[in-house]
Amino acid sequence: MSKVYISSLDREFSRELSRLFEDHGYTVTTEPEEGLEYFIDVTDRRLPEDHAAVGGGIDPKVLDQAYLENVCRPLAALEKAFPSMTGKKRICFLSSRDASVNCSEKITGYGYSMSKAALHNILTITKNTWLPEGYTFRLFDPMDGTYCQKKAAASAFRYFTQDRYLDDDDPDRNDEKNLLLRDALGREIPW
Amino acid sequence: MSDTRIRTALVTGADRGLGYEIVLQLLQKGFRVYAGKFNDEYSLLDDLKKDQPELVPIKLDVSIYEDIIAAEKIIREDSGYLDLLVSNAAFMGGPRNDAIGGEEPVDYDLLRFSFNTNSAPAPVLTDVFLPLLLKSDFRCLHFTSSEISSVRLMKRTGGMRYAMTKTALNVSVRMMFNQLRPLGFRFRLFQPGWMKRMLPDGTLDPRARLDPKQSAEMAVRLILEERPDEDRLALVDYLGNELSF
Repeated sequence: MSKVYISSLDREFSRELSRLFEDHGYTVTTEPEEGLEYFIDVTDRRLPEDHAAVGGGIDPKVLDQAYLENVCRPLAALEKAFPSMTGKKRICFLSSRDASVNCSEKITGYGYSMSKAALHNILTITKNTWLPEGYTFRLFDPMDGTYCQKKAAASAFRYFTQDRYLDDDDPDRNDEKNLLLRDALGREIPW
Repeated sequence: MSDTRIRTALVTGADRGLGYEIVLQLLQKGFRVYAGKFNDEYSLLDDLKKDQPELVPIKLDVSIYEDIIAAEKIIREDSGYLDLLVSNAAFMGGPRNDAIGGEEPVDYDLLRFSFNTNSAPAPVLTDVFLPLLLKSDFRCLHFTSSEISSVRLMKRTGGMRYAMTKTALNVSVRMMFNQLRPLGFRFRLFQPGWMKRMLPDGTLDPRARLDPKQSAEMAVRLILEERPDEDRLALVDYLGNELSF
């Protein structure tokens, strides 16, 4: 039976995502153990202290903490699970439009946006390295705060489990080569 | 603001390379330059100071908040305003233990250090210096980024430690742009190219293609010139070409 790691079941989105995987016959674990088919990190940490605009007292310690929680800890868990992943070997992370250099309209929440933007680049490099070895990647914006999180989990489940255009006869059409950030409505968010 | 008073600039990471060359060129353009100095191996700024009364070297390790606060105090008490902030300092070194699934486990302390040196100081510097920048009519913020900040263009299979810091930097600049562009600030997000490393004696390591001086010329040109598209944030390279994010 395929195993799915979901980093935390601490909120509606991740609990619903877990339920959907279980309903489809997967075993869900919150430990980055061996033999996973899906590694899903649902960390989406916006620290309460991360509220300053420039001129309002940006605390470098808060930026560091956001980076630790949104990037370092999830990557450490991924490193642990990575070598023994099986099947689709699918690695899924959450991000947000707020981390888009093209689209962010934010003036506060530097720690969150910067840490997630860093993750975009890290996952792209990791994808470039490991796609030829069969690893596949998803980045998803659950639109927390603006969209029903139960619906967002259903959208995430579809996006995480569906295979994208794979055409072994014409590798140039292999859409898995392109890592995209998609939101809960299926929209691509430019980097 | 008076148009006749001397322009002032703070340049971080000015001990060598691009930062040092930007300092030189700003001095030639008549700026009073506060030059952030953190690397004791290099004495180029001290040597330059002998002939340049408008050069003020300042101890400034941008990863140390107390250094930033102290630098602000020096400039506030010396000039009382700041026209240009050049956020340029960066850490690029370290072993190649920065890949998921690599031979060595990722060094997370070094990953955080890189973020805290290359990314976090940009909004922190702007935050601390904003009162002085608001006293200027020039209001220019330059951030040294990189082509490897571009997720869209990223083709590499390694070196995530440095690359990710510049993407994080870029989004912080977007956020500052959202807030400060309506107040008349001009933003420069600059990709300097792969430059020859400047050695402590001022000579250039022959590896790499570009002389930092050439890159600094474009950086300073972009700083001084008003663009017709100031309301749009752009990542521009040392040839003046725009790159996608």
